Order: sequence, then structure tokens, then C-alpha cells
Amino acid sequence: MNGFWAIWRRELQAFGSSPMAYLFLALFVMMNGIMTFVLGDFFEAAQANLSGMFAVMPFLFLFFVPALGMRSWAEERQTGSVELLLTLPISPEAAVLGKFCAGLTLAWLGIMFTLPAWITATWLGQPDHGLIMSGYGAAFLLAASMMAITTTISALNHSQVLAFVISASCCFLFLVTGLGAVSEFLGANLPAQWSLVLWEYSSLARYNRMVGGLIGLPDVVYFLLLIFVWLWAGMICVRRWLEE
Amino acid sequence: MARFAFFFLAVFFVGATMFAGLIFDDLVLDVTEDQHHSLAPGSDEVMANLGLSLQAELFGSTGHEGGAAFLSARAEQVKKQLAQLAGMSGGRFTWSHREVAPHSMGEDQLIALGLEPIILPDGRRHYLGMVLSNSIDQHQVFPQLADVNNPNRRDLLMAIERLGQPEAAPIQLLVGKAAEPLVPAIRQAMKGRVTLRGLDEDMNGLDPEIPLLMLQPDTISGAGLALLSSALAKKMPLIVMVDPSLPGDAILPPPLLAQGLALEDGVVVDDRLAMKVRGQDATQPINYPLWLELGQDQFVSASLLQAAGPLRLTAAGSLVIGRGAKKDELKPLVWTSDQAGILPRSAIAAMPGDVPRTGWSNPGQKILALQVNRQDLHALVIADLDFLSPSWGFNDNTQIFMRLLLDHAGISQAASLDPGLPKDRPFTRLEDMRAEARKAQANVFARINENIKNQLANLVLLQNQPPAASRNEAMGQVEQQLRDAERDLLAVSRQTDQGVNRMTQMLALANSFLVPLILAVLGGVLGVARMRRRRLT
Repeated sequence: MNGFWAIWRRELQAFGSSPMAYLFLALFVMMNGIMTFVLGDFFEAAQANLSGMFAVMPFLFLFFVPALGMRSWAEERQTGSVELLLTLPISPEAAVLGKFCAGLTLAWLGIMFTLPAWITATWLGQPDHGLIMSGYGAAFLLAASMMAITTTISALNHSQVLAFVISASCCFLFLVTGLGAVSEFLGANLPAQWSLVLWEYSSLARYNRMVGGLIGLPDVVYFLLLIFVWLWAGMICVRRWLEE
Repeated sequence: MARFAFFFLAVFFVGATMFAGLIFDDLVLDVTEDQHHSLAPGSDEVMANLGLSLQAELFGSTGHEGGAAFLSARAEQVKKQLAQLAGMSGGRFTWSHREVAPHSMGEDQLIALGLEPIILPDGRRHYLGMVLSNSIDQHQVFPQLADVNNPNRRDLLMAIERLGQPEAAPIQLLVGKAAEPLVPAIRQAMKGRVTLRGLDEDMNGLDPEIPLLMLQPDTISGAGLALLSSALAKKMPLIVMVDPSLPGDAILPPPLLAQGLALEDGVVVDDRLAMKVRGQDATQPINYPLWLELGQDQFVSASLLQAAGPLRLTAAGSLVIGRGAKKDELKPLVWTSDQAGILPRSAIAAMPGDVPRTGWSNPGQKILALQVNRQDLHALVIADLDFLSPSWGFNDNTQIFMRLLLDHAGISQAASLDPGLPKDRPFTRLEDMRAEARKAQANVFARINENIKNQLANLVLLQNQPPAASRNEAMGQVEQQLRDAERDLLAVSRQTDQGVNRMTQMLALANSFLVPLILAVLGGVLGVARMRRRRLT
């Protein structure tokens, strides 16, 4: 893992010196707040819980996470700096992991910026803190899996825009089969076992289970496997460039 | 080569996920504070003490083509639940699963068993139901296992508890004449679980060891009262049900009154009015015709409160529609009977039949119940019997009532079988603010309500007069004044909510824009610094 910390630090510095990262973070937190407190029924429901916020979050991640991760490799390939990077004594694994972890740090920072909502709920009433913690755990895992997808897709593209669009679409596919309406549609057109399998492989179904307060080892393993598999695919891409 | 690698990775992901699902299936942590997803300790006790062996037959059509994934997932959840219960029973509870395709011969059998189809939005029908039977050939059918999160968990456990016991428990029954039409509904609700032993008004044959259920007990002889007093002194479990909408008097027997329990004279006559008093919080009309007076030593059982919904009883003389688990911590939404538009029962009696009384519609499907647990008293009082009306059939309220009654009589552990629905977690701070604001406006509220009360009484008097043009004109004026008063009430309610509204707006703004603003400023400063640096270089 030679050079992991160097890559992670370099990527974070690049994010930190770019106004775009602040803009994405600000947009995410603002949209999350608006969807929860202004357009959502947080005050109408008058219940000290953040279920509304956690329901919205996966769909905000669809834009927020690819926006943060799209530049990780695509920009390097676009500017040609990837060749310089790969000549350095850094292993491809370290490079992929470093970029992934840097993006993830930022994505998790974005999630942490929503903590005032938890403080608000606690100030207003007596929320179920276990449920909220479980919700945040689910959000961290979902964001990590989306970041792994985005990092790998970014490695397959020269264009950041293309990387963003493909990543968002790919993340959407992992979410969409967990939606009730889609599941019903699939159930009507596919054998029941198939639609059940698609449901079980949906990130959203597993995320929702955790947000409901049930932390199952199969769900945690699912997210970890998703991250591992996509990062491994990213490493294969980077190795291929090296060979070329 | 890379393509193959991607393919192998995809296969690995699918396989490993499936494997993890199989191996770690049971490793699930319920992190909710009230253990909402878990079985409560009472379930262990029920499963460990089954007197008869039980068998559950689960029927489903969800594995066939056209089945919805959410139904299949639900079926899996039920199977897990049954397997878990079977593991706790020491072999006395077994279960099996049978798949039946829709539109097949097997479907007729399901219908004959009493299963009901679950109709999907596109019109397809599927089955997910169960028949639970015991070794003496008694059974209970679950036509649909429809609850999304925990398919019928509580009902299933109650049925297991019922069918697992060889004999029905006795309850003594004393029925006032007015409540006799309700007895079949109660017998139906208790069927198989409880044997009701009728008593006459003299309470001849009263056994202080067996719980006593009294329906509208308006007339009891002196000998019966003496017997009841002695039974109460022995801490006999007692359940009293009264209702002012029945012809008889909705009063408690004197021995209970002597214990400090009392029903105050009063009926909420207009649920729309009560709803307006509640202001913006109102989502359901208030449907409860009586409130109970409590002595200082009495308290309300938390499990009952959970079952009975947001109704809470506070200190002597008042029922508030409010929230909170403890008497001292109640947060009222309506303060006093006057403000809820409650009239003396004598005024109601004089009213014509078309006055909109509450209790006739019950969209919240809740009942008002009060449990008193004192050293010398073990009583449950239910003050609204409308939900037992034969025309309503066996509804959710009947089930809630049955659970309350069985639990109180010590026949069931229903309250401890299941953690039930997630707890109500209101915004106590906002409710405090609202209560403070309302306290400040109490005089205004009282004046308006007094005015409404007088106008309603005038209306009743006018309605009892012979029809004439002058009477119609006067009635029109009174109705106009009533509308004005309701408007005033609404205006005052809005005024009291101003502080709360301001607070919610501020919180919404802070949560939506404060952190983004800080980040945007940071980003802006950084952008400007970067531009300057570029210019310099």
C-alpha cells in the first residue's frame, strides 16, 4: 500500500483548494435541509425522528457522491497527469484506495454536516438515538458504496461529465429495484424469485432496513462486498493502463 | 482478460452476498430503544408454557410467477418468525409451509379455509395466510398476514397463547339492561379464551377470586353492593364499562365511587369544535364522550396508554387530550372540559337526536380506558362502548379492548408479548411553548367557550319551541353567533400558535441554510484567494 497516505492527502488538498467541493457540500446540506424541514413533514408530523431525512438522503447521494468522485481519475486522464502519477513509486491499489478514501472523507463530511438535524430533534423532543445512529450508519455505508462505483467509473472515462452521468445511472440502478413500485412492476413481469433476488440486491432495500433500526450482518456484508468489488474493478483498470 | 475479471467479480459479488445472507441470516441487531423489532420476554414465557401442542400451516402463492417481491419478502419474514417461535417452544409448536398457485385447484382450498387474497394494484391476487391449530382441533385462521414490518406478530402470539391453553379462563359478567345488545359482541371477542359467567343485579354467586366485568351497571341492589365492596377490599380484578349514549345511566357503582373513582357529567357534543380548539395539531376529531375523575394516588398504566393512543388522564377532574407517559409530565393540547366544548349531560338529554354527538364515528380506532392500580384497588374502567356496537362487527377496537381486558384480568400477557408500535415521540418543547401561550390566553378561551355553551343551550331551547317564523329568525341569529364564536376561537388559537410557528420557521431555516452559508463563504474566500494567487504568479 505504498503511497496511500500521500494520494489521500494530495486528493484532499485538491478538494480543499477547489471552491467546487465547498459548493457541492453546501448544496447537499442545503437540499437535505430543505427536503427535510421545509418541503418534508418534519414539523407537521411533530415526531422527534429523522426518518424523513433518511428517506431523502439516498436520492441526494445520487447527485452528491458522483459529483464529488467524478474527477478522481477522469480529470487526471483528461489533463494527462495520470501518466506522471503512475510513474511515481505508488502501487495501483494505493492510488485507487487513496482516491476512494479521499472522496469518501468528503462525502462523510457532507453527512456529518447534517448532524444539526439530530441536535434539533433532540432539542425538540426525545428521539430514539439508536434508530438515528443506525440511520447514519446506513447513510455512511450507502455513500461509501456509491463512492466506490463512482471512483471506478471515473477510471473508465476521460470525461468528468460522462463519469458523473454513468456513475449516477449506475448508483440509481442499485437503488431503483428497492422501490416498491419498481418491485411491483418487476414482480408482474418476472418470475417471483427473480424479482425477490433483485429486491435483495438493491442497496435501497438494505439501507431502508438499517434506517428502520435493524442492523443485520448480511446487509453490512453486502455493502462491504459492493465496495470491495467495485474498488477491485477500479484496480484492474489502473493496472491495465500500467501494462499499456 | 479484464472483461473476464469483471465478470468473475460480478459472480463473486452475487455469490458472496447470497452466502452471507445464508450464513449470517440470524445475526441481526435491533438498535431501537424500545426493541421494536424483537420479541418481548413475555413471548418466551408463552412459548415455554404451552399446555397443548400447536401447528401452524403457512399458505402462500408468492413464489409463483407474477408474485410481488415485497410479498415474497414478507413470507420469508413470517417463516423466520415461525422458526424462531418453534425453537422457543421445546417441540410443542411446529410449522409447515405450502405454496399454492393462484388460479389453481389449491386456491379453492385456501378460500374454503378462510384465506383472503391480497390484491395487487394491477389486479393480480396472491395469498399469504395461515391456519393455527391445536391438538384438540381448535383453530384460528389468519386470512392475510398483511402487516408490512412484523406480519401480525402480536396477533400470532396471542393466538398461540389462546390455543396453547387447554381451558378457557372464567370471567364473571354483570350486565345492565341497556348494555345487553353488546353482550354477543363481547362473547364473540372472547370466544375460546374466556367463559363468561352471568350474575344477576344482586350479584348472587359472586366469586371474589374471579375477575368481574360490569357493563353499564346502573342498578345494583344493596346486597350486591355490599358483596362488591367486600370483593373490592380483596383486590378483585374489576372491569367496568359505561357509556352515556346507551339508554341507562352511565354511572359507577357506589363502592367504586367510594374508592375515589368517578365519572364526571359531561359529553363532547361537537367534535368539529373540539378539533378547532386543538388548532393546527388536529388530525383526528375528538370522539370520546366521557372523561374520568381521578384521585391523586391513581395512575395510568403505561402499557394501556400505549394501546389507548394519545388520550391522557391528568389530575382530579379533568381529561386532557395530550401526550406523555406519566401523569406529571403530561402535555395537554386541550386544557379543560369547557374548552373542549363539553356540555352537562342534562343539556344533552334535552337535545334532539340530530345533534352531532361524538363517539358515533371513530376514525382513530381507539378506545378510552383507564387502569387504576392501587394497593386496595385493581380496576379497569372503559368509558365508551360504541366500538362494541354489533353493527360495527369485530373491528380493531374490539381487539384492543380484548387485549386490555385479558391483560387486566391476568388471563393473558398480551401487554408483554410484544413491544407494539414505536413510541410516540412528540416535540415536547413546542408543546410546552404552546401550552404556555394557551395558559396566557385562558381567560379569552373561557369567555368564548362560555358564549358557545350559552348559544348552544339557546339553540336547544329554540328547537323545542313550536315552528314559527320568529323562531326560525332567532335560530338563524344564534347559529350566526355560534359561527362568529367559532371564528373567534380559531383566531385565538392561531394567535397562541404564533410563537411556535416562528420557532419552527427559524429551525427550518437554520437547518437548511446555516451550514451551507458557512461552506459557501469558505468556498468564496478560497476562490478569491486562488484568483489573487493566480494574478500574482
